[in-house]
Amino acid sequence: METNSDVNPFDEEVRAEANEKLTADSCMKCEQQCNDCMRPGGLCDNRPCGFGPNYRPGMNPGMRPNMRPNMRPGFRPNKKPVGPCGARPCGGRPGMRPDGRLPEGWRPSDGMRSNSLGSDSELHSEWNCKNRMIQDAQGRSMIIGCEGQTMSGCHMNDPMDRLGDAFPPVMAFVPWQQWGDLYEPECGLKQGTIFKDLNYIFCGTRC
Amino acid sequence: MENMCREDLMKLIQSTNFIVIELAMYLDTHPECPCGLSAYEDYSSMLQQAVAIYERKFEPLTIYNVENNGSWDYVQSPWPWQKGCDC
Repeated sequence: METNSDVNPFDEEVRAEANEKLTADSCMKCEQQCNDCMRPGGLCDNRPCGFGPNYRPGMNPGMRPNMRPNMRPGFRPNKKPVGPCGARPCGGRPGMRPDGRLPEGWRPSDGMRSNSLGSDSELHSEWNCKNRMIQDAQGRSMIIGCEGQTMSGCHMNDPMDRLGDAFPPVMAFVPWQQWGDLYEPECGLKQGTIFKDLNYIFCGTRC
Repeated sequence: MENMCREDLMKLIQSTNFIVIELAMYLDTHPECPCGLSAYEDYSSMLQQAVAIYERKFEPLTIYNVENNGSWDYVQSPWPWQKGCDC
């Protein structure tokens, strides 16, 4: 399965910054309490906590048993600009790169500027893509082609449908969660999660 | 826990109940994680203990634990909008 590297919204740097900010802003008190009651997170039955029975020695966090060795778990993207709120891509649109360029493999139709995706009015379904090869973890592949045909048919007036091929569906890969530090009950209720590893700063926007 | 006031005990029940639900969701996908199982056991036990103390000292929290003493005690306790809890 080919995984879109842009699906994962955080890289390690942003995640570290977010955790640091959370600790500094709101949880300094219970941080100490959590450390006091920290449970052992070492090896359990010769495998790290959070790994299932299919764990193999040398398996990295987030790696599935059928992954190829050269696949990186999570397919983390290269460093990208950090938004003003400390996370990226703040205010970005799905399927669009932070610099406004189209996703790889996409090309604008004639007369369109490739960096003109700044407003809703400039988004429409005339985006076409070339034939692309998709491949799963077992190496099976197929050629898919697509052309924008969303302006015809019964959904032509649907605002979301008018966006057409600019928002291709993706298959997301969610890395396997590993056991980590927990917040104290009161702090966990306040943060909305007891798992420190899941406490991200939400920076999404409405469509 | 026995000496906690009503408000503090209610806060403890709410936060511990949240932890138990979070751990249950974690264990749905990590059913063999010893750390998760251990934490669930600890907090679940703490929750049951806190609920038992609260219902014994104050009032029933659910309709399933109402003692029939000749009146419906469940409706006698203050509702959340009557500042029955700090929520």
